[in-house]
Amino acid sequence: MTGEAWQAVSVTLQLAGLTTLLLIAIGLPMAWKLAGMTSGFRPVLEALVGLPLVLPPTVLGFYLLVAFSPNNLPGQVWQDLTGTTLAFSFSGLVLASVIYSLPFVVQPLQRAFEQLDRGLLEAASSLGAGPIDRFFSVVLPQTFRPLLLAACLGFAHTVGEFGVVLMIGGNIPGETQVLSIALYDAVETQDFASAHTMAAGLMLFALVLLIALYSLDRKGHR
Amino acid sequence: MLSLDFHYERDDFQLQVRETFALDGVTGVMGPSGCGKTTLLRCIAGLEKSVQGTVSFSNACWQDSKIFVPPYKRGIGYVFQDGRLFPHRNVRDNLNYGLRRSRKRHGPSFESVVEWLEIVPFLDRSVTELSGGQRQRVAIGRALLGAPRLLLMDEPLAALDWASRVSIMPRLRDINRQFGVPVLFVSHDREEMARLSDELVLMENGCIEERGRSRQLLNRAQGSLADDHALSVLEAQVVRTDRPYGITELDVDGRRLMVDQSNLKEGQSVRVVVPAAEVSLCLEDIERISVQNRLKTTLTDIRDIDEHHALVVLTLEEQKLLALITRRSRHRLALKVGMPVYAHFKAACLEVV
Amino acid sequence: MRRFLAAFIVVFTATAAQADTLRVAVSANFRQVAEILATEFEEQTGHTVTLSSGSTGALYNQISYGAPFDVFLSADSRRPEMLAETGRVSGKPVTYAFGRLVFWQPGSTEVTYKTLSGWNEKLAMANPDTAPYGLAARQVLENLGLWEKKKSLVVQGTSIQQAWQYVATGNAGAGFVALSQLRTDDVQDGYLLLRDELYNPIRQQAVVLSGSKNQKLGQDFLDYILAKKQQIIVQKAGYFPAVDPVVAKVSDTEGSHTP
Repeated sequence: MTGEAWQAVSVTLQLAGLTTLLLIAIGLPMAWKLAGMTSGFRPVLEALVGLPLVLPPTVLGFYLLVAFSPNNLPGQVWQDLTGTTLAFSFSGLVLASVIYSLPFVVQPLQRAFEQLDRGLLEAASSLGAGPIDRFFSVVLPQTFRPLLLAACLGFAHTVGEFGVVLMIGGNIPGETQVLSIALYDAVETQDFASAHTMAAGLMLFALVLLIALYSLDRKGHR
Repeated sequence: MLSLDFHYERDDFQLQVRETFALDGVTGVMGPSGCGKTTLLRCIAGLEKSVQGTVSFSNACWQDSKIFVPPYKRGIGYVFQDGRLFPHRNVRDNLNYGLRRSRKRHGPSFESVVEWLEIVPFLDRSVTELSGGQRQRVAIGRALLGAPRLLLMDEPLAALDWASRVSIMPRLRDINRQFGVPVLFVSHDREEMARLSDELVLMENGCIEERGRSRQLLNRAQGSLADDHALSVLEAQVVRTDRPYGITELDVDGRRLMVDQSNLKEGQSVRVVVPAAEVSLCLEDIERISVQNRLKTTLTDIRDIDEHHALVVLTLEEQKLLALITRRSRHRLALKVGMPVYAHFKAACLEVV
Repeated sequence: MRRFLAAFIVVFTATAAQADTLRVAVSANFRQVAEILATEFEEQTGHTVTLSSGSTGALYNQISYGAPFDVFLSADSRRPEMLAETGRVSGKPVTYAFGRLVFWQPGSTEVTYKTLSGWNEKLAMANPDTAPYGLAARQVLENLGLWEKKKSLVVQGTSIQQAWQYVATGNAGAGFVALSQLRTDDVQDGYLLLRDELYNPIRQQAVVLSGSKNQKLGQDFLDYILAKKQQIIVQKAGYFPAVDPVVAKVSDTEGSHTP
């Protein structure tokens, strides 16, 4: 593989890693709130989180492109705060990936939290454990597998992201050129040798990850 | 002292309580399923959020219009019907969960609790490997090690088989004496209540119907407990344990009572639970009869409780004994208040706690 | 009923036999013009033309793996040549238009080469490795001696379409786009039409594909768009016409933009 391809691998891994961390940080409280929610507002929120599952990435890409523009408020605020634009930047990709992969993290977590025996939390509470204590001493150990699953899904989905990055990335080597884009370029320029290497690499990665995930899932059900 | 004055509503169920409990010893809360006894306990624990009113416990306000102290700050222990042990921790770690978060100096030691509950042999086992009775004992231990100021128990024996109940029952009776913790105990089982509770609260449709000393509420021929499952509780002292055939001799109001139990100590105070249906009446003192227990009593009350049955209250000196007889017998024997009557019952039918 | 059914079948099969469908793969930049041309062609001939647009590279890949197109309007000359080399072309590639590149800075009233050389914000262009317009943009910068300086400012779209999106949405302040794109939106100023000698001609070539069952119709379509009247439409859309330099001189009003 060329240096540029390795750079793409590195950008991809950094993007997926950072995105996954943020997704866990955002997704955990979000899934917890959703799981405990009883108001009629819940389906609306669930639908919003789930949108990236059904929308073509181009919809998100288009709206992000519009939102990131310094001519519009979100892009303007970002520019005022950081002095840079969101489009064509690593930060922009991270933000887009977080939105795009959110349902892959929130949904398994929400399901896990819904299935969590709330009685155990009441027991912990009666034994003197406060909310944060309960989260670490009961919720986390009880939902460790789904959490790992959610993180892996979020990571894998970010690695596999293409449409959104294509639209807002700008294909800058070392910054926004991720593996799937590099692969796309290789195919477009009929450089099938590189394309094969990258495609096979991605495929192998996805396969290994999914096998790991499913065996994890199976152990969880045993 | 626990003062309650609150209102709670959920779907089509309402709970309305305005009572103060002294909470010395074991207070039993009894009633048919759906009467709100579990909800009452949950409201006291702070597990129900939409409670309106006040809850306070020995000078500390747990809840009023402004304050809501969350369960983990109330210093309670709660034993749930289903145990609710943490499946990801073994027995020892479940017990330690309560201990680590307890008001340390006030509580019993780990060793004393596990020995008393006889759970030392399986301390390092996974809780999923335990039998129902073992699980409940661990749950009780876990709650006690949290050094609670008030122990709430919600039908801790309901899910257990007979053998497990028998093994746990004496310990429940002991908790209050051994650890000095006031206990609020919910059950729908009259026998459990007769054995365990000092004070009894009867609930119906989300309200407290009656309350009083357990013996007084149970040993009478009227009220919601006067039916064909009526029973009476006698306070007794162990007099002799060295009788042949494994019989133990008790004293009840100066009368001798034989029971089929051999694990008692002389001088010990015990309760004897006598199901009313097991007691038969005789107007004369017959000696040549297989029935071991023959108590001389005075008939102080008699009531028909349904088409076929009547409940008779027999007074020893102070204590009362209930007998369930047919209305036909009542008329055949021409029973009247004030008559001397001999109460017969077998030694084997008695439950001693 | 039977007679009606028979009549229906006769009519149906007759029309099916007469009116063919021509499937045209068109490079995205030329899509708008191709639509106008195709509609007129349909009206005149009674045949149907379906257009599939995409980047030239993507369309090339699809065709070389057997995509069922009759005609391919490429944005470059390289891909048609490659197809010809592998025997996928019937006849020879023909040039149907020359692309024209502009430097676009929306919102500014006067854009000059100075503006371009002094530009130090994000600069959008198509990917030089995949898109002909991207290659042209790079050649412009190289010929002006600006490539090394501007390289780090460049954000690449996969196609000239995307380069245009980046500038149009304001995410990039300026960029290299096709004149035809600005014509579509009737943009009057804020751009610099780049001198022809700064980049190799963007020779847009078309081929009839050898796998087509409608090769005759395909050739008719190519002949049609190369006719004088249609070439004027092409020119008005922002291209140099391919065939008649006289036509080009007469109606090329953009000359004044070029210093």
